[in-house]
Parts: sequence; structure tokens; C-alpha cells
Amino acid sequence: MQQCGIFHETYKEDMAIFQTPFIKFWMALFFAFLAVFPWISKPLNAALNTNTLYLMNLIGIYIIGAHGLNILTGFTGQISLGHGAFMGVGAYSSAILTIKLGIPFWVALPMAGLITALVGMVFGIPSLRLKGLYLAIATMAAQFIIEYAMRNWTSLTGGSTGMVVSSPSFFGISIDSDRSYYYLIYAFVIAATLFTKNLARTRSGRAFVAIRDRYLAAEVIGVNVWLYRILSFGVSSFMVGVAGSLWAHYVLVVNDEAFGIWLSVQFLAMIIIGGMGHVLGGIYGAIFMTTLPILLRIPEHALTQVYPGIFAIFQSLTEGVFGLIIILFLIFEPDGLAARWHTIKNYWKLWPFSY
Amino acid sequence: MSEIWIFLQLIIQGLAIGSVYALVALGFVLIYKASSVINFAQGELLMVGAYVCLALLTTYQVPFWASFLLTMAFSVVLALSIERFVLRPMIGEPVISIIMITIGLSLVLKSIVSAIWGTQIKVFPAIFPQAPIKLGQIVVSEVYVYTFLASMIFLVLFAMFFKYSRMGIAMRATANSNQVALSMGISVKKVFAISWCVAAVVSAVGGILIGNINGVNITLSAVGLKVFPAVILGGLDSIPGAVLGGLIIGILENLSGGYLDHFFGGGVKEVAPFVVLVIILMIKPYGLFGTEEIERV
Amino acid sequence: MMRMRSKWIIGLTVAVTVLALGVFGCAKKEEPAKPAEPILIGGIFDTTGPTSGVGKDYAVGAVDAAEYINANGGVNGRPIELIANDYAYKPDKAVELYKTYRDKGIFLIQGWGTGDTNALSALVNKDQVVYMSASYDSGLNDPSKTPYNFYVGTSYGDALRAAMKFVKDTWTGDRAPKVVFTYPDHPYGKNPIPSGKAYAKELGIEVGPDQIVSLRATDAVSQLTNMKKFNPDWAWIGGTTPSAAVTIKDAAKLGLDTKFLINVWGFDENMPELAGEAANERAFGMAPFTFYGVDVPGMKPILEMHNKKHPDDKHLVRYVQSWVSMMVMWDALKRAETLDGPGVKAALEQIRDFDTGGLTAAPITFTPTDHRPNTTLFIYKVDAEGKQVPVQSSTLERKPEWLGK
Repeated sequence: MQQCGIFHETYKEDMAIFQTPFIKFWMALFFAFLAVFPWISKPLNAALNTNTLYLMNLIGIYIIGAHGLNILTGFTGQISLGHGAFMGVGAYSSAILTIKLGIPFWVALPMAGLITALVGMVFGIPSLRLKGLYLAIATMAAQFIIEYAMRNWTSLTGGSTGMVVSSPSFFGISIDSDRSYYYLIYAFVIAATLFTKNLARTRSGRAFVAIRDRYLAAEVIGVNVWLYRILSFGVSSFMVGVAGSLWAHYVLVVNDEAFGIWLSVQFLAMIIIGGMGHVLGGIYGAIFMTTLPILLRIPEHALTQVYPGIFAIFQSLTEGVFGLIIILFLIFEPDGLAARWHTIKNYWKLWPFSY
Repeated sequence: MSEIWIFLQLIIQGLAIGSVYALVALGFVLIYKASSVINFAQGELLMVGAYVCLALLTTYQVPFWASFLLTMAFSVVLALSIERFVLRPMIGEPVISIIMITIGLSLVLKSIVSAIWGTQIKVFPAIFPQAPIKLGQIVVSEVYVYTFLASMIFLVLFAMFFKYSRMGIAMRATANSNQVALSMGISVKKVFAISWCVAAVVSAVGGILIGNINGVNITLSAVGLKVFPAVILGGLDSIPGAVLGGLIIGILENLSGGYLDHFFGGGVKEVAPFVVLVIILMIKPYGLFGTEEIERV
Repeated sequence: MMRMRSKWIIGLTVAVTVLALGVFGCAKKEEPAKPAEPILIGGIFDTTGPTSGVGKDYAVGAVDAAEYINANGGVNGRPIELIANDYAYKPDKAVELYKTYRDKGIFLIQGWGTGDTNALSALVNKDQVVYMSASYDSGLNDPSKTPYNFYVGTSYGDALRAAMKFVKDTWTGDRAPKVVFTYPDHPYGKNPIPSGKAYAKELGIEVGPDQIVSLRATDAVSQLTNMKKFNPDWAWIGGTTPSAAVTIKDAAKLGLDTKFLINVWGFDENMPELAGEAANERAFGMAPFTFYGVDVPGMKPILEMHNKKHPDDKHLVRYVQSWVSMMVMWDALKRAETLDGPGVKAALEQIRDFDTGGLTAAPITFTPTDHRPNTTLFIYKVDAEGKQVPVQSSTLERKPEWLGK
């Protein structure tokens, strides 16, 4: 049973993340589900016609990246078309650190995050002088420049052949199966989600939002706009870099093809569909964008049985479906799934006495 | 071939490619000037134009002049429906949403084209003479001469249009402030629609011309991305800037390809324009001729 | 209030449990085998990515071949089912598809590009999944390193060596012939270059500076202007047909006398159309396969399928390539002692002089120590009338030191 109103008596209650026993219970159930998921995912494989655990792991990685972009775009209002490449920077850094320098994964991962944060901040410098649309173009340029470096700095990145990475190990146990990696990824997902949720409630988080809403006013009330914009770029790229590092040690191949502008667009689509500026937005968006191509494969597969050859047409339409969904969401549901979920919840809260 | 001829060849080739960029940039700037929309689907408009013309020519055997006109008509219809159904609901939305919606649009257009015409490269029947034009030791395809002429003609036309025609002035006013324009009795909707139409037509002309050089395939839309360095260099809202920016980026691309490939292991051509873009944004963000925005509280 | 809440919770928990059990139950019910359960084959193709210009036709050929196999008795009565999926040339997507297939129990995969096949080869060989690729990368034909990788076309390294040999054999000048390598920045383009260069040096050919022409290039003037300084007699093109055509056209425009030797993926039926007159007497193709529609016995079933299913479509040699790959696979499946990875691998390695009905330049042979299908290919050229005609068929020795290179 949900509460119909707010009856908080202490600040602590007001600031709590999980406010009611009802939510606490469901969250506990949800975490329990997450914990046992790898053991019960097998039957779902047939239904979805894919490796569900692999899918969950990818979703987890994208959630971390989407949270990162959400901090930058959703909270601070700075658009980035370069997060795909930033994720690549994280992946390559981690690969180079572990393979060429022999640094263990557990050290390489935060270092990859830091390197990405640095790169992100460098390309974020134009944001100090420029507004939204210029920044979009600047980060798009960053995307292409980084892609070029990944492909052509052969001595460092292995060029277009890419690099083969090894799985991390935890006290001598190799984390190389989908199942063990699942727990690794979701530990980071939970950490990233809590971080994002809490960031919004700190001084920095409020500064970010103030900059987004009206940066001149923010400056007037004493927010250091320059500092927080760069900081936002740094934090955001750090998270994407960590996602990249996790990706590299999971997929085990790092190659520039994976980090094209398409990935950047996907990240933006995730937070738009999920809900910009909502912590849940990144999660919903990542789930939606990662599951959609798998779901699209089902009708395609069925039709291919009837008309072989149709699959070639179908597959070229997949990207178009993405584009269409982005357009429809922006026109009809600009606040994303998170907001829609909120509306539905509120409706049922007062049901049947809603007005 | 002596060094000086090589240099000149690269410059001329750069001008040739640059004139294609200039054409697309013109359309881009036009839309931005009138409606402040950053259009990421400009390259796709070019691609669609090229494919439609090609289909008319080869599949339906329509003569070139007729298919050219039909393609223009198609572009107008396409632009009108895009403006009406996709962009108009977005008036007043934040920049991020508008950027994303044009990206979404580009994905849709690209996938429709690849579903209809496939991904294999297709070649235009020879419309322009295939023999290149020779100037001393320099050679250049004749198509590029037409592209260059087309971009110059459009440049002059647009410059006059914005300066002297009622509609052009109305467009400038709309770009300045939607509200003021509305209160002065300008139909903002009409202005937006016209700017999209003209932009689509110009891009389609570019598409047909560039398609004649080495054929048409789905990667043709990548030309649209090269427009960004060009318009940032020229200034986002400047018509002469778009043309000059396009030409400079074309030359720069070829010179860097010719002289720097050796040091970076190839492919410098693809990335050099974007390096320039970042540098311009850092030192002179409003480009050569762009209007500098001064903010007051 | 309290009681109501617990009621809710109990109710919901029960509902969720029932639902979950339902899902499990349903999934379980589907499992019992149908009478003749098809043998699943995983397909990893590029139908939308940068190589889709040649990849789509390849995928269509594979799908048609699967239907042909089923119409002709399948694998000892059991049908096969090719699950064709697009990976848009993205290695991570290929890894995802591969893992999905593997977890379905699939032990045989028809794959595509050089980058992803190489990336997957460690996994494939660990999991004992037979991987038949459209990448004829030489690095994949040494069974001591990649025992589960197979392909049916002459390897890129051998194609490049055959090209160099052709240059040397046809050379009549007094000085050493000059060669330049142009290729895209992809593993497909880059991998064979070192072995080709080594062999060129061995033959006494002078090698000029490499030129990079991207797969998406729409002009190559700056690269060719650089090339003109060296003025080579021959140039190797390691790209796909569109970029090869662009290179040749611009070379003709710039007045280069250089002739071009093009790797398998850059020379097909589209070449004369794409490059126009520029290709005449200038474009030479390394062709391990017979072009689509040429009158050889093996082409008959292909044309039958074509007329039956999509008579209006235009096909390329790519269709033939995937067809041959599927036919070799069919042969191995029929003879495999056990239907699993090792069984099919063993059956493939027993193939001696497999007759493709003239679809390849030479019969195909695999042994447990050598996965080079053959070392013979046709050298085609575009003649003065713009027709593609075979010049000669070139056979290299099966030198053990060239294995894997």
C-alpha cells in the first residue's frame, strides 16, 4: 500500500532514498531478483531468442554510461555527442594498462575512468564559452578525432585490428563467465546508481541543475559556472570510462568499430527515452535501447521462415525504428519513460478516487 | 609531376570537393538562419535526392531534365512533410531535443533508403562528359565545374533573396525573434516551411551532382557531417560564410591528405576538418562571418 | 492499515510467483523435440554496415543455399536452419551473436569479416565451434593456431602473392617493376600486406609508399597524387568494389599508367559499371570464384534457386562465394560421425579435392595440418570492351612456410 501524502517528521525521513516500507519491500524483492537472476535466466533465452544474461550484462554496462551522460546532459544541460568515443577511451585505456603495462584490472579500471575524465574535460573546454548547439558540434568533432586516434595510433591501440583483452580475476578466480561477470557489473551498476542519486542531492548536484536551468542566474547567486561545467564533464566521462573498461574486459576485444557515433547517439537516445535528469531515466533507457533490437529480431525471425530474403530489408529498418522511436518520444513523451511511470504510479495511488 | 603541380592539383581538387560541401552547407545555414534548428539530417536530404533522381533515370527511364525537376518537386514535398510533422511540434523545445529529433530523422531516412534501394553502390548513367578537363598538368572532372557553378549561383541568389526580397527579410526577422516576427504579421510557419523546402532542394542538387562523380550509396550521407566544420568556420548564420567555409574545408582536407598522410599512417583527410573545427570553437567560436551573440541578463 | 498492507504483499507475492512459474512452465513445455528437429547453423553477416555493399548478396546466397540443401534431402533427412543475423561489421555485436548461438548449442557458424573472425577465434577454438568465415585471412588457415576456423576461398596472402608473381611473370622492362599497395584501414586490407611485401622483395619488385583509401571513399585524388610521384607500374588494391572503382577512376583521370590488381572483395560484376571506361585494361582481379551466371555445372542449382525465388534480383560473385561455403559445410555435415564441433571439424579435414562444379578455380582440400582450401585462383581483367575476362589461372605452391601468412 502506498502512502497518499507526505508525513515526514524528521529531515532524515525526508531525505531517505527509499521512503516507505512498501518501497523498501519491493526494492528488497528487486535486489533478491537481481541476485538470483543468473541462475534462472536460462528459460528466458528461448523466449527472447537471445542470451539473456549477456543482454543483462550489456544493459548493466550501458546503465553506467547512461547515468554518466545523464549527469552531463540531464543535470547540467550540456549535450554531448562524444560519449561513444569516451567509452572507447575507457576501454582502450583499460586494455593498454592491463596488456602493455601489466597492471591488474582492479587498478586499471579506476585509472581508465580517470584517463577518460581527463579526455572528457579537455573536450569539455569549449563548453566554457559555448552554448548547447555549439557544444553538440564540438563533442561530435571529439567523437571523430578520438575514433581516428583509436584507428591510427597503431603502436598504442593496435590500429584497426584492435586489441585482445583478458578477463579479470578476483583472488585467483577468473571472472570469465557471463554469470560471474554479471555480479561484477551489477556491483558497479548499484554503485553508479547510488552515486547519481546522491549527487543530485549534494551541493555540486544542485549547482549542476542551477546551471542547466539558468546559468546566468546561477552565476549571479555564486555558482562557479566554469568549475561546475568542467566538473560535470569530468564526472560524466569518468563513469562512461568505467563502463568502457567493464565492456573491454567482458567482450574481450577492443576495436574502434564499436565506439562510433552510433553509440553516442544511442546513449543520448537512452536518456531521452528514459527521461533526462531522472536517475531512473538512465536505467529505463538502457533497458529499452538494448532490448529493442532483440525484440525486433523476433518478428524478423518469424518472417524469415516464410519469406527468406526479407531479413535483409528488415535489418536495414532496425536503425529506422530507433530513429522513429526517438522522434515519437520527443514529440509525444518528451520527459521519457521515467515521467510516464511516475504519472501511472500517481494515478493508481489515488485510484479509484483520482481526478 | 613537379611539386608545384601536385600542390595545385590538391588545391583544385579541394575546391571541387569543397563546392559540394558548400552546397550542403548553404541548405544547413538556411534552416538555421530561419528557425535556429541544427539539422543533422542534411546529408540524408542529399542522399535521398540523389537516389530519387537515380531511380527516375534508371528504373523509370525518365529523361534527365524531367527527373531533375521531379526530384526537386519530391524534395519540396519531403521537406514540407518533415517540417510539418517532425519539426513543428518541436517549436520552443530545448536545443538538445531539436538536435536529437534531426538525428532521429536522419536514421529514419537512411533506413528507408537502404530498405528500398539496398546498400550496393549504384551508378548514374553518364549525364555529364566523362573526360576530365585539363589545365596544364591539373585534371578535374567536369561535374565539379558544374557543382562549383551551382554553389556560386545559389550563393548569389540567396544573398539577394535575404537582402532584397520580402520573404528573405521576413526570414531574417523570424530568426531574430519568433515573437516579434509574429507580432509584425509574419507567418512564422510559412517561413519555416519555405526554409526547409529551399534547403532540401539545394541539398538534392548537391546529391545529384556528387552522385554523378562516383556513384551513389548509403555512405553518401556522410557528406552531411563534413558540413559542420564548414559552417562553424564560416559562421553558423552566414550565407557567404557557408560557401567560403565549404571551399576552405575542401582544400584543407585535400592538402592534409596529400602532405600529412605520410606522417600519420593515412586517413588524415577524414579527421582534419574536425580538428580545425575544435580549434575554431576554442579561439573564434562564431566563425569568420557569424553573428556574435552577446548575452545580457 | 497494517493488515491491509500485509494482505497486499501476500497477494502480490503469490501473483508474482504464479506468473514466474507460468513462464518457466511454458518455456519447459516447448522443449520436447519435434519429429525432425533442424540442425541449427548460426549466421553472422553484414547487411547494413560498411561492407554491406558486398555482404548483403553473400547473406542472401547463404539463405538460398540453406533452402536448396533442405529441398535436396537436408543432412541425412534432417533439415538445416540457418539463423541469419546482421552484425553491421561491429565486433562486439558479433561476439554477442556468437555467444547467443553457442548457448543455443550451435556448433557451426557461417561468419563474415576479418576483424571479428580473428577476434572470435580464441573463443571459437576454446568452445570447439566450427567457424566458416567469409574472411580468407591467411592468419586463420594454420590449424596449429586456429583449428576450428575454415574458409573456402584462396587466402588473401596467397592472392597477394599470386598477384606479385603475375607482375613478375608478365614484366618485360629492363628495370625492376614498381608496385604500390593501397588498402583501407581495416584488418581485411592490412593483414596480408606484410607477407605480400616480403614476397615482392623476394621477387625483386620495387615497393613504393603505401596509400590508405577508406572503404567509404568518394575520391582518392590526394592518395593518387602521392602515388604519381613514385609512378608505379602496378598497384594492389585491398578494398571492396566501390572504393576500388573510385581509385581506378581517379587514377585514369589523373593520367596514371598504373594497372591495378584487386583483391577478391574488390573485383566483381559491378566493377565495369562502377568504374566505367577507366577500368578497361586497367583493372585486374584476383578471383578464387567463378563469376555469377558463368556456364559451369555448379552454377545450375544457383540459377534454379534464383529463378525460383527472386528472378528480378541481380546477383554477384558474392552469392557464389557463400553458396560454395554452404556446400562444403553440407558435405561435411553429411559425413560427420558426430553432430558436434569436433565431428564436423574432422569431417571437414577429410575433404580431399572437393568438386565445386567449377565454382572455384580449383577443388578444395582441407587436412588436419593445413586449412588452405586451395592455392589457385583466376586472374580476371576488364578488357578493352569493358568485359570481364579471365587472363589466366595462377597456382602457387602449397609452401609450408606460407601457412598462416
